[in-house]
Amino acid sequence: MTATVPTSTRGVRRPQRRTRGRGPAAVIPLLFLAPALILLAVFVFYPLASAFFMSLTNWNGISSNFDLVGVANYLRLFVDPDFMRAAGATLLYTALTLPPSLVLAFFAALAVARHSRSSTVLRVSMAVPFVVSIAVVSAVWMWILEPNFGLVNYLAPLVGLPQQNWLGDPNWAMFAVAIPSVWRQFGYFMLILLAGIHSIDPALHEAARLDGASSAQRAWHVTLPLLGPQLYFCLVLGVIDSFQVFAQVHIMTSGGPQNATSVVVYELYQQSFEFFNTGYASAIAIVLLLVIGTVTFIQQRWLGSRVFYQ
Amino acid sequence: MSAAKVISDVERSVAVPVVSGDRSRTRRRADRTPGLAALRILLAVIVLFPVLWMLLTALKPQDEAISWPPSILPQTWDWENFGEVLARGEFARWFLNSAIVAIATVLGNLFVGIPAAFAFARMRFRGKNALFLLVLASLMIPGEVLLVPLFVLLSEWGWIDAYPALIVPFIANAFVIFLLKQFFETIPRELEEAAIIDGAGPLRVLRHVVVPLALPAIAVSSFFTFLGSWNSYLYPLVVTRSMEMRTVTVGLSLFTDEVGTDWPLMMAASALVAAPAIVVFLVIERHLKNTMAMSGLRG
Repeated sequence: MTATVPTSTRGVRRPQRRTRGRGPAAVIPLLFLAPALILLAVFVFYPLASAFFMSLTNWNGISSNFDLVGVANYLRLFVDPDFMRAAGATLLYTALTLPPSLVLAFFAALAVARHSRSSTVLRVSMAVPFVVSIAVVSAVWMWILEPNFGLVNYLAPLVGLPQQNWLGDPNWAMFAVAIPSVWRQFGYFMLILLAGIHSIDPALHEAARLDGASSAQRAWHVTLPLLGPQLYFCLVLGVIDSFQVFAQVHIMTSGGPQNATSVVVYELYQQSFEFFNTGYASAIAIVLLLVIGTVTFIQQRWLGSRVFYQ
Repeated sequence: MSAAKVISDVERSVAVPVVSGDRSRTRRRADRTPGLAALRILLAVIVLFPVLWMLLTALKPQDEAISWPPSILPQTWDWENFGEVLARGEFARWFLNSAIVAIATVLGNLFVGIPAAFAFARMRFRGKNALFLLVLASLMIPGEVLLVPLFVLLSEWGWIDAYPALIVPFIANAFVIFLLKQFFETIPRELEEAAIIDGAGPLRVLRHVVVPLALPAIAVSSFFTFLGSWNSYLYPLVVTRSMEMRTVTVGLSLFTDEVGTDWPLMMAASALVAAPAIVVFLVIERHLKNTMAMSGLRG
């Protein structure tokens, strides 16, 4: 993202003539920017600083007095079995959703890469799930996974799976939560990969074909490696999204059964709005920020501007 | 699946223009391979199946929805479910709340984002790069991190359980500013210079030259703002309390408890929540792909 920052004005120094820009004209850019900057300061940067400060206290969110406890909240995270379990659940969710989404997105992108009426229909259909609210997606899949009348339990015996309470069984609940997430996100990844496929020089495929490569070989040896940056971009986006999962869990399982689906943001939500451990919840939030920031930073370092700004 | 045909599609595919709205190239060519076309349509139906199943359930009477084995098509088409949802509890009110919040958020974003993007794209001033970096930095902060302090701040202001809490914090959106700035930079400077020579100030240039030319980018950023607002869940869950102030996504999950196991009603409600987002998406779809690729970002 930093790659987009214009660098043209850098190094242009005009100390004497600066005065010409002062006066009424110099105020205009600031007037144009002021509403946006003030709103961002009040609703993003101030709360961010505030979250950091709260994380160093034992505030309960209501009382007017609290103590500064330093890094105690952060140290507590590492010995809190609930938090560690939530971190594990978040990683499990990521592992269950991301690889299937990427594989599906790759084949989907291949299937619609060439422009035609039917590929337009398929491409638009695959994009529909990610414009549908997670609340709706969760409700629909709760109905499909419903133990007594749900479609999955009707179809399960046909493919040799047992009929069961998918969302109510601690061993299956996370799989059940992951299915709608995959359904919702692969179409988005598909669009990103599709843009990558369309930017591949057709001559490369032509050359491979003249060398006798089959279409499967060309997909594996030409298309896939050249999609590296886009795949990596999807991977990073997917990790960031997965670490923030909340609505599916809140709606479909409420973190249960037996805390099997209690992910980090669900833990954060409970600590702040149910248990009123505001300071501790803020520490969870800051750790989440640091982890996501690190993922983003690694993406920047490895990819730089190669992905979308050729 | 015939992998060979799928992949021969890929190799003949051509690079698309980078700027949004690739109307220059006719994309909807007829299919030359009927088998592949049929396969794609079948895949589309599979992908959309949960949406179709939602609609089919919404059109069944309660006893038919829970019949075993399940029937695919409704035996009796029960359109009454939709009317019953709207008449039931606070659903219509929640729907109205979501609409008010989403529309106000979109308008606010344009009002704040267009001038800011114009300043970043076209004006020279001290500290521009630093300020722009700051705006971009706000994109990288997950909303969950801001949730608790935002809640505390809005409580102090007495905004909890009121429209401003759902709207005002989302009026400045770095994604919108970024997307519009990128687009404004593609507009030829000469057009603006002509207006300036005719005596137009920056506001007139913005209103009469830049905005009319940037309508596709404005539409796309409005779409993302609308979608983000209409579909958001955790934030409205936290800052609304009374039944009357819930948004429709939060209301939907409360609806589950209220109606117990009445799945046809639940699916009818879900369909009503999904419909505006899907309709807006279908309207704007052709402008979408390349603008997203251009920005590499999401709303």
